[in-house]
Amino acid sequence: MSGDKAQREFVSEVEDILERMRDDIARLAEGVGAGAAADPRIVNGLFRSAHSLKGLSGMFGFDAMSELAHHLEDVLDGLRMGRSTLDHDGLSLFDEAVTLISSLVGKLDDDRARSDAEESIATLMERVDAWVAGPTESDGSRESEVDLPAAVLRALTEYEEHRLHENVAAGRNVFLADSDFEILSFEEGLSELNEAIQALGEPISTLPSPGESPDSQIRFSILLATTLDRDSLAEQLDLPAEQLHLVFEGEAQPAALTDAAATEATASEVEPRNEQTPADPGPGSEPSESSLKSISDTVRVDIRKLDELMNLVGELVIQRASIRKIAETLATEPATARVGAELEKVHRSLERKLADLQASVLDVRMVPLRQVFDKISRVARRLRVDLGKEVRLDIRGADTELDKLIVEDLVDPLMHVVRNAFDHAIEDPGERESCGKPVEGRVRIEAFQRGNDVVIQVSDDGRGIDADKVLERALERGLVTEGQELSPREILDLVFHPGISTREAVSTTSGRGVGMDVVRSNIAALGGIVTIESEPGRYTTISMTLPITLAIMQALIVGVGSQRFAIPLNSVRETLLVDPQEIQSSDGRELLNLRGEPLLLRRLSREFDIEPSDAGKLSAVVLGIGDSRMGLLVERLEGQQDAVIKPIQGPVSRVRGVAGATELGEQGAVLVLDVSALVEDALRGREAA
Amino acid sequence: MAAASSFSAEDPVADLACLEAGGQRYGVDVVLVREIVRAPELTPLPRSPELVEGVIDLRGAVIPVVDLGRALGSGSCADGLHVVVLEIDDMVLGLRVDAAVDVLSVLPDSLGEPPALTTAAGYELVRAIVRQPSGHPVLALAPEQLVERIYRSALDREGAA
Amino acid sequence: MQRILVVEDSATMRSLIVSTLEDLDDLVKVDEAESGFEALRLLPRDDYDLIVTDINMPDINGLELVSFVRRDPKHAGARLLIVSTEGSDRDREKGLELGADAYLVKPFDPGELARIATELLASGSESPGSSD
Repeated sequence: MSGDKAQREFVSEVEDILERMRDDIARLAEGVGAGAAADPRIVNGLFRSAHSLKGLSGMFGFDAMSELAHHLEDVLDGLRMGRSTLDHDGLSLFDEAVTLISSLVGKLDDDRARSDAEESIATLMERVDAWVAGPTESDGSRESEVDLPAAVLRALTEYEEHRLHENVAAGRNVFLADSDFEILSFEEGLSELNEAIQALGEPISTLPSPGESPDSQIRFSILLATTLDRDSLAEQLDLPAEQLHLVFEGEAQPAALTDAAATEATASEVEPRNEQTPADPGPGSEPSESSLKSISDTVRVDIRKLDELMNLVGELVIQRASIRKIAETLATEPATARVGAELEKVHRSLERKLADLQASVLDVRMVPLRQVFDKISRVARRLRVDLGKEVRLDIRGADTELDKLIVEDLVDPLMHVVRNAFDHAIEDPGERESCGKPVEGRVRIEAFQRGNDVVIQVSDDGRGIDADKVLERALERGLVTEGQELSPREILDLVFHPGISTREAVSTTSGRGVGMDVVRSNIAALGGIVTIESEPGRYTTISMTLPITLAIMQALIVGVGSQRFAIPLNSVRETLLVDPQEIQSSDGRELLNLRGEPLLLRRLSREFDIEPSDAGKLSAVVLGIGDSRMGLLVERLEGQQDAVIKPIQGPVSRVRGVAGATELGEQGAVLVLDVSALVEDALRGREAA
Repeated sequence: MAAASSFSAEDPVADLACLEAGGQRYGVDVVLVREIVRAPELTPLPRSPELVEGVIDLRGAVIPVVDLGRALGSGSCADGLHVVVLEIDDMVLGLRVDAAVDVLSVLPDSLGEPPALTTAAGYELVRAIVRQPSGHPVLALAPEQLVERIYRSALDREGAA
Repeated sequence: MQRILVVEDSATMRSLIVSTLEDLDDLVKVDEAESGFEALRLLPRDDYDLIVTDINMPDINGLELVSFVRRDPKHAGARLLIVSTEGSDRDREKGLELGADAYLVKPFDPGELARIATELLASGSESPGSSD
């Protein structure tokens, strides 16, 4: 892991920990301010934070910080073990410590600031030590009349042992509750059980052991303290009494309990007082006057959370669309016209707000392409050496942003394309000279935004693609027939077909080309398209057009027979109603006259072998890739929707013509069409499989 | 150590998730089962191997589904209650079954050679037969074979295309 | 191919440990768990040659994990390495008592981790009943 990245992660994690500590200190302050004892769970939480800080800063060599954290940890350990009492002085010391560490973490690279801070740390540590030397409380009896199996006792940490003895000293019953769970789903059940126990007493420790069938089950034994007796406990927890083992019998307690009383009983008494913490703590003490601004300008977010957020927004968007339909229906009925109109108004406002929300959430997911480009630069450097060619790599538009998930899936295809350029397109220095080209070859990667898309172009000034060779190969492979008329564009598009390796296409005799078909399907899975432009002997440019965000794209929903499909809107040029009479047949193909030009048609029902409904009106969705056009015949146009495209998992991930699937409300998955593939197939006159 | 999904009479105990499909009972090694869900709406997937009925949407992930009854030559599970989501070496696949019943712990001496099934289809997918002292015997499946088969037919289609 | 499981709730520490282990000479595959619970879910799926765990973790602590692993005959061949801050000597003793094979104290030098891990992996492959 590189030093820079590690340091950034370190800073980010430290800030998270400090944030937690501030919260915990504030909560403790509220409690202490209200005259109650410190909640041991919060104190333990603080202890664990200080402990983590100590370890982390120690690992990275920030000794002063580590020492301070260590002092805090000791103090907090004493607190949680009942050896000392928390008061406002202690709390403000913690506050100061957190503030100090926070400012220190912002100055990691500033040596002088650091040494200044270290002085403050030394002073603070002295004051902390002085505070600890205050009144202490004896730990109480540590004799164990507790009947626990040795295995369980040994696995308790010091703190858990302490909690056990606290409860014993307080005269509560201690049980060991066994419960088996499926390994696949234990967390939910376990946390429910834990919550139930928290309402009835104190869970002290959770011990896992292999279940009845170790491959599918796991047993958790929860050590808990409660004032309830065995039968009441079994009833409340909904567990058979045999699964509750009495480990220590406390003083007889009345079995009656109310929720509030039971909850309070869990806050251990560090001082022998029985104050109840009020259910709703009043205004607590103000958190100390430290700056709330985070040092690093970033927040570390698990990409899965962003996905969840995105899914939620996606679902909101779908719901909104449903609301609009309802509003429209209401508006057209005379009886409900007024309500409908109002709903439409509200809906419009909702739509605007939702669009803003969507934009904000999407913004969070955006990352610049720079990281991908950096990686490619590094590989390029190696390639130059390995291949012995002189090539200059120009990169433009590294600041262009794309959805983080797209960027991650972009690396491989982009790398393929660049490698091809270096390896096959750019000629050897000798050859270039004899062609009159500068000895240094040039490969340029350029990224820019165009409307709702981002375009990434990889161009080289190398050999270009030899259309004749491509055609030859395609004839060999039976992809085209003799005498078939293909435009230059259509010939180039052949390069994307599996079975035509790029090697052949660039007429070189060395090495093996990399499958452009894989690149194309990878990009299609991201909702994008790839096109090639080339002039033999002069240049090749490969353009990848991607939607800015994978997360939500606009899709046109169409229907054929009983099925529906989604078509990425950015490939749809227009839609038309078609009278079946107007369709002309020629040479086994179907055509439509569109403003004087022939438009090649394909029926979706035939493409995918779907039973068409009775012949009624048809609609043509005019799809365009680059300059190529085709009309896809469908039976129904069901409007536009925002859709989230997902890849199809498993062994059938590459189905020709299908780029992925999306979900539309409760109707399950709807397949998203791979427009490039459809257009390609149409142009080449491939029969539907 | 043998892959977690295979077992033989020499291994002590295996746990099988018991499934009912087309009137028969089958078992799948529990380690391979990621989860079991109520069968959601199935979307047909064109140009895919015969075995694959379609795809379902599982909390945002799109997963292919095989009708287990049809795959094994017993009746179809088109109206089945459950889909068993398998995860085999990072590969996710759903099996549509009539019902997912329970988990069975298998003892070595209850294993036997699978019966000769009339459909060639079923034979390579069944690894062993588990005799139950009371009740129906359970046919233990080899799901990896199913995945293999799907792969192969997907490749065949691509090649022919 | 040696399989290692790293159980540690601090993402930064985990990254450090994982990258140190991935750089070992042996061919290794490193799985990560950010909590004891996640480790419990991963354990049945694989035979690990080495399990590296922290002690201070939110849901179940490292000692409980060690105890669990040692009680399951399936993992008899796994070596256990505890990596923890030297907060508590008693915790350290207990760890070794419960069946951990080694105990590394934070802050540690990544080289030290690499050395101990290599030793543990080597010793694992010699004992009977271990994975290939």
